Order: sequence, then C-alpha cells, then structure tokens
Amino acid sequence: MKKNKKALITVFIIFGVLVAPHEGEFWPFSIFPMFSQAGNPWVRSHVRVVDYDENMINWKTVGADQLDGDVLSMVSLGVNQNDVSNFVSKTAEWNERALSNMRALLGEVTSREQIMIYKVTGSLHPEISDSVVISYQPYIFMSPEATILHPDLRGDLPR
Amino acid sequence: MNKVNKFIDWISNMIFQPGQVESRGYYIYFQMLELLIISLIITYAWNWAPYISRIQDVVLPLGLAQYISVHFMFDDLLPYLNAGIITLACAAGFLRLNKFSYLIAVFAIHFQYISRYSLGEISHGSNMAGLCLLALAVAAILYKDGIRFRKFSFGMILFFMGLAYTSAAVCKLIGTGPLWIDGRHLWLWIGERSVDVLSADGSFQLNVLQEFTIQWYWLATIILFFGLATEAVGVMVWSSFFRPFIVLLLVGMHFGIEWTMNISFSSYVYVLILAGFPWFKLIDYALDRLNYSSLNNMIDRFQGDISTPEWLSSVKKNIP
Repeated sequence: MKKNKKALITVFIIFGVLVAPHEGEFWPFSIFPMFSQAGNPWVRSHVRVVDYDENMINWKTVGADQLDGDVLSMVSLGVNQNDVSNFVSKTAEWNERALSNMRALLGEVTSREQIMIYKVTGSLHPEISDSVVISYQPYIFMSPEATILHPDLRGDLPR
Repeated sequence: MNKVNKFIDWISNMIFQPGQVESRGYYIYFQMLELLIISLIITYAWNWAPYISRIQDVVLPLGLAQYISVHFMFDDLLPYLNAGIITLACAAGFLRLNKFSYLIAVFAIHFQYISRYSLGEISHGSNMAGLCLLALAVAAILYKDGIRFRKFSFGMILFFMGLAYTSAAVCKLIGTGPLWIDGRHLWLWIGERSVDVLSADGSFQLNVLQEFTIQWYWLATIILFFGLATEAVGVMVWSSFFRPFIVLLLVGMHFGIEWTMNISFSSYVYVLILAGFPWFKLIDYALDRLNYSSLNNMIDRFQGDISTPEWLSSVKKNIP
C-alpha cells in the first residue's frame, strides 16, 4: 500500500512538472484545457476546387452562400481537416517552405486542380446577441503552375 | 501535514482498495481491460504511421518535440518501424516477458504522437489510452506479483481518469468562469464544427439535436451545464460506490458531445465502459454457475491463490 502511494505521488509530481511549463499538454498527460475559453472567435479552413483566371482571382471575404467552386473533401484526400485548419491558423509566416509543406499535405490534387484555401472565421455577432457570424476569406490559391497568396499575406514572396 | 497524509491515504484506499480480495472474474476482467488498452495503442500507432510519412515540417512542437527534432520521423519507413516496435513492446508487456516492455511502448507511442501531431492540432482522443498504458508500465516495473500489478494499474487508471475530467471542468471555470454555460457558446462551437464537417466530408446537415439546440437558447445552456457539472464530478470515479453512476454520466456526456459537436472520443468511451462498471461480478457469477473445474484451474494457474469474494458468497446463499 505504501509502495502504491509513493508511486502514485511520484507519477503525479511528474505529471505536474511536465504539464505546468507546457501549457497543460505533455502527451499522455493533459489538464484538458480545450474548450476552456468559451465565446472566443475561432479560425478554421475550407478548401474548394475553383476555376479562376490567375490574374482575376476574387479575394473578397464572403459568406457560405457566396462561395465559388465546389468543396474539396479532406476525407477524400486522406487528410485530417484539423491539420489543415491548424496549419492555416498557426502558421506565422507564409514562406516558400510553409507553402511547400501545405502542398505536400494536400497531396497530388494540387498538381491537378486549381484550389482555393479559405481562412474561415467565426464569432458571436457583436450586435445581434443570438447570431453567429461565419466569414470565408480566400487565403491561398494553388494551381499546378502557381501559388498565390491573399494580397495581405504577400511579403517578399515572388508571385 | 498530517491532514494531507490522511487525505492521500483516503484517496489511496479508495482507488487501490487494499483489503479487497481478487476473484477469478476480476483476473479475466482485467485481462480484457489490458487487451483493450494495448489494442487501442497499437491501432493508433499503425493509423498514424502513414500520416507521418506525409508530413514535412513541424508547425507546433508538442511534448518531447520541443526539445528533440522529430524531422527524422518524417520518413517512409521509420513511422512503420516505430509502429512495429510499439506492437512488439505491447505484446511483450502483455505476456510479461520483460518488465520494461510497456515503458518502451510508452516512449515509442509518445514519439509517434508528437510526430503525427506536429502540424498544429493538439489531439486528446488518445490521451486516455496513453495514460492507461503508462499505468501498466509503472505497475510492471514496480510489481512482479500479478495481483499487485493489477491493483496498482487499475488504481492509477482510476486516479488519472477522475483527475482528467475534473481538471477539464476547473480549466473551464478558470478560462471563462461560471458563464461558460451560456448557450450561445455552444452555438459558436456548432458553427465551428459545421465548417469542419463540411470541409472534411463535403457536406453538412444539422441533426435534430443541433437544430433544437440552435433554436432554443435554454436547451443549449442546459446541455453545457450538464457537461460542466458532469466533468466537475469526474473525480468521484475514485469511489467504487459512485463510479458506475459517474461513468454513466460521463458516457452520456461523450454522446452529447458527439451529437451536438460531431466530436467523437470513442476510445474514452470504450475504456470508461470497461473500467467504470464492475463487470467482474458478472464474470464471477458466470464462472460460478458454469463451475468448470478445468477452466477455474487454468485461471488459478495464471493468477495465483484466490478465494471466493465476500459479495459472491452472499449471492450464492440467495440462489435457490
């Protein structure tokens, strides 16, 4: 019994030491902070197959009913939707390497189709209390020949 | 200090139940739980392997990836090799071939996890299985004796199970406060999941519960209140008396999460259902009714000396 107690306390201390400096996450230890901050705006991704003239891309942020093209299902590509969403929301700098990784993640569809990766944001409507606003911002256009970022994201990257 | 000691003793007594005699049914039951845990771990290992091969760079390093580069894992062969190591280590642990086998499996699956989830997502679906494997690993190192091995690992599983749910509730109360249960928060999450499901599957349709939840603010608030309250009392799984009731609530909460937010935590549900109810009583009852001496002898050979548990003696008295 004493041995059990000592071992459990030791594992509990290791748990504390690992999760405390790692924002509550050190697999398999976690304090499960997901969903702890309710009501905050969120960012996800959405990918569509489009048919654009590369010089006339529509970069306007729209609602779900005004989207161009057809949904490109991530399941059909064998890609986890959460990975694409997190890639879009957590990539700080869209350099050549990040774009190449995004192409690798989506796979060979990027060498076959024209696709638009949307950055989707959702928030509670600031004035209408019972409404959720979801907007789709065209973010990255990929075709077999080119990768074009939303004008706000273009830094030193060649177009 | 004395009070802290007493509190720790009180928890230890609840989760390890030092006075409880292990029955034949419990032995079979625990083998089933152990098999479930290693099956989940092996499944994760092989499911993650092909995905790791597609990754080229780390967006968000998790766990040991914050100290060691995991780029070497982004290879066509290594993730599969690691999955093979995990499978062999789990098998060796189950067959008690080496006391460090489960620990090797823990480290190997940690590497598999930090490689698979290096693109920004912090996945929690596998945490329960991982914690259970860790409990087996610690128990295998500490105890040669099977009965003590099972007692410690089951107690540790219960401890972290309760801690996990209650800490999740505490995080919500710290992160948002009591107003976390405001139904509009659920609307926002349903909106988020609608984008995810549409993007993943190509289509999305609200189910009946989601439609009602969006229509009625009070229903959304009640659902969130139920979720928060259920998580908060998660720590009560430590008590064998309350455990089945709390586990029922937790399983219900997981189904609620799946129906309202399309998020499935299936491995949690499997472990909860198996670990949360005293299935061994049913097995003991069946063994007693069957009364196959060869089967009982075989169990005894693996398990060691056992005696009829008290509760079964009383059941036997009441059977005409």
